[in-house]
Amino acid sequence: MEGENRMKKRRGQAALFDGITFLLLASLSAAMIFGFVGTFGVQQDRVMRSAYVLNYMQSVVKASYYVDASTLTRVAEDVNSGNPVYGDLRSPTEGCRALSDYKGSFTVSDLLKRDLSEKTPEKLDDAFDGTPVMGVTAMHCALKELMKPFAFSGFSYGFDVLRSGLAVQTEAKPGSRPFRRLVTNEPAFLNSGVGQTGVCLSAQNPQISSDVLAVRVPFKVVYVDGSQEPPARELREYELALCIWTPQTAASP
Amino acid sequence: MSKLKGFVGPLGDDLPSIFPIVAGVLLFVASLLYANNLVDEKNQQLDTRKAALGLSYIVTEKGLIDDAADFKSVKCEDQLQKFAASTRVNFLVTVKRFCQGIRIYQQGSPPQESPYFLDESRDLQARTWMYCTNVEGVPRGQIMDVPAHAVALSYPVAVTCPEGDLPLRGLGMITVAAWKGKTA
Repeated sequence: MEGENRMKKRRGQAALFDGITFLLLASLSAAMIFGFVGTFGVQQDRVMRSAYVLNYMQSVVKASYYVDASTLTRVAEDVNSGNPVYGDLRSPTEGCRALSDYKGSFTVSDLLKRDLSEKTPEKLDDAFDGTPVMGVTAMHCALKELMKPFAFSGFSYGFDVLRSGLAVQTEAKPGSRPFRRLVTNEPAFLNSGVGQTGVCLSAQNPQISSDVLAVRVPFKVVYVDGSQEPPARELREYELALCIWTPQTAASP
Repeated sequence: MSKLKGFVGPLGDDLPSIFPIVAGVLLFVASLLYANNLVDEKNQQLDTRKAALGLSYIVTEKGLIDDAADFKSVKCEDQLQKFAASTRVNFLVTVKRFCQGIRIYQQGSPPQESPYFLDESRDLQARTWMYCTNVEGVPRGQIMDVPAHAVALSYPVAVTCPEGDLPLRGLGMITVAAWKGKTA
């Protein structure tokens, strides 16, 4: 009788152990399922968001081919109040307002091409062999407006014109802030400038940002050397680079 | 007979284990069903986002929108609506002109400035210049009820900004909204 009871007790303990082990396995499986579900689609979502940002930036560059520079005269004014904004672009003679001089059909990229089509070393200096042509300022005004949604969300952006991998240098007028014509909203670059690598490559510094998204599009310019007879034509191949990043100092939006 | 010593019966023997086993089975099945629902929902979101990206690639293809009739017949009817039919999403595309500068839409702005306001206004600032949708029976002159789970993407585009006799081109914004299922 005693042996029978012991046997029953052992069988009961064994069955309970089996049941608890099964429950434990089921719980572990459930935890694994939740672990999988938690990360499912995260990478795809990230890739699609990057695709959106890249398409946005490509649209910005496409728009710059068509937008007339004279329509950007109000960029450095608050749309609601009319008060001036963007200290670097609100000068009536050198800022966005001065683009009203190009009324007609001068697009932003037309002016940029003209700014570049000068004797080497070409410079983004709002001039074409000494004649004022506000190419880099027109691009700066266009980007200030078109990158607004990202700039307002805490992102930084930058723009470079590259030739053979090196950035065409900007040049400011004597007396003005040295890097005023640099097309970016990153204070670190506006205060100390960037080297020949340009804004987009310089932003890939861990101190600036760890995650830079960039688009590059070909940009061809014909340079005519009028000093020769007959005038010599040279096709120069540039790249326009537009990039965006989350500054290390700001919280990720 | 001695083999059956201590045998309580086929169920009786495993009686203590039945509760944890049933709990385990229920937990596992419930987890599977819940995970399946989550995966389906996530897949639907990804499909919608993919479709919204596809629609926006079509609409931003050139970077310029300067002809309302062309937009209506070629972009809208031939391309956007057909693409939406093949991906089974509802969509709304609006094009706004910002010839005097882009104003970010905020709460309290006039309803006509909403990215979902359906109109064909000739106004050059912040009003809907043209729109395209595959949702039927939505009247013009009101904000479309786009569901909260819709994917909305905005892009810059060059648009015509006539100034006197000059056929200038200025800045505009395209908003693409896509969602599955019915409108809100």
